[in-house]
Amino acid sequence: MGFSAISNANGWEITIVGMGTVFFALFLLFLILSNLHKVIVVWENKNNFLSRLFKKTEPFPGYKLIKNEPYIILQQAHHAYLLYKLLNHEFYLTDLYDLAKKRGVEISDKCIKILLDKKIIIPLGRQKYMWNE
Amino acid sequence: MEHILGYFATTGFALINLKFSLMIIVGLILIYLGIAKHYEPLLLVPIGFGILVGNVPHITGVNISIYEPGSVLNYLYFGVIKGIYPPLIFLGIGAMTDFSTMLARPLLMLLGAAAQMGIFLTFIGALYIGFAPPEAASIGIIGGADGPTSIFLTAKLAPHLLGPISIAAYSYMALVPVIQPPIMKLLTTKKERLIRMEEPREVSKKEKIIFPIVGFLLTTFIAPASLPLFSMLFLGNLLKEAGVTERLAQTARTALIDTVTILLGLTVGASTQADVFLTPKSLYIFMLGAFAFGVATASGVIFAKFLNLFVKHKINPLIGAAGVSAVPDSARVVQMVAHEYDKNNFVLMHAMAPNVAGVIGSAIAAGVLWHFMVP
Repeated sequence: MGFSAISNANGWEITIVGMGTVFFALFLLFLILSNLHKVIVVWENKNNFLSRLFKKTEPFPGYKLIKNEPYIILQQAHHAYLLYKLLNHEFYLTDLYDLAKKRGVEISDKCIKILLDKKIIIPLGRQKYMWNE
Repeated sequence: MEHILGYFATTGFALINLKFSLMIIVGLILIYLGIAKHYEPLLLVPIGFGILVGNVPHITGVNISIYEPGSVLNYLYFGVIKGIYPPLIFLGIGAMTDFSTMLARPLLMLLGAAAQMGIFLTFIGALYIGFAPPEAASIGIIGGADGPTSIFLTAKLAPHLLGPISIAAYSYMALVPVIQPPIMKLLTTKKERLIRMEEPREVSKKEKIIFPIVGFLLTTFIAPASLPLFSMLFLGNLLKEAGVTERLAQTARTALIDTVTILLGLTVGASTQADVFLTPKSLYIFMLGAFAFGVATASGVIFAKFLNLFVKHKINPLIGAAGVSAVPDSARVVQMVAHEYDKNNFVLMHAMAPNVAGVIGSAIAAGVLWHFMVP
């Protein structure tokens, strides 16, 4: 009887461990359940997620067609594509060169020729072009 | 004449004494509360009638009493002392419980954990008074407000206290609408009671199916001693949510649970024979039971207020009181109190989250206590 009875029966320890276990179990369940619906969404769209995860990212549309060209050409083509994104959908080559100059990047005629030959850039007439995405 | 007198001497009229009379009155009161006041009628009516059955005075040695091996009642009582009925009731509870609100906002589960403080503080209190540790553990579990769990643990640890503990547990469960509101009002401000909680998100079917499997594995890995309770609870819920076992779920939540409830109520009531039940220990058990309920309610409410310090979407602290696992009565009481202050505040669905979490929490607590008490 009294506090000694509590100590003799390890009452304090049992209480602490007991409450700790109840909280731990429900907290763990809380963590799992909080994320369960997110896991289900991922599972339901697993094909999309996996393809996005393992898909080799191409620096610009049409990269595969010129991937054997020298690195400098690939780099310039990448720059050209990034600049094209800042221009209108239909653009003049002069605008592209001007913008490249302003940004301090070089886009050689050779690079543009290759992009045209491989039909990565398509002429629309009236000196306008578009990127074949 | 001698035969007539001899027969009369064996009748209840000749054997009745004050203790039996008192217990018969207790039984009648429980029946009255169940029928007239609608306090847990499905439990109090069979238990009250069981008390009448157990306290009809009769001579010993004729295999009538629930404690006499070979009597019909003794066979039925087997399900109580061997802990068979509580898991079957859990099967039915699982098959009728919708865990959606808990899945929608799992944070509210922690309120169900906090409310289990009532179990452990009562355990400490019972030890302080002088109960042996297994008895104290069985008394403490009354604070879980979960009748089947109380019976399950008491049958394992202190079967001689089954009568008073189960009567205390079920009586206080029935008295939740009386016990809880004053504590809830005492610990909350009017502003807090008016908090409206955001609508819970919609829970997908897949979540509902995965939950009983994940819940079962997690809880039983942490508290293996609760395996009989959790296996049935989560199996019942899986039957309900699977969508392909509707017949089994239907049986579990109707015919099976009703049958077991009748047998459990009757035998628990009949186990309260006056000479076993009317002892000073029973009085202490009832006092500690009330204390357990009070502490459990207060812990849930206070913890809800504590959580509000950290969460963006505020919690109405009244729902903390539903952390005691008297399903769904304590959730209804929360709704009732919230409704008093704001007629358009519907917190019932939110309160169901800590309420069902409380069932899980009290079963884990029972497993932990059992683990420590088994030599």
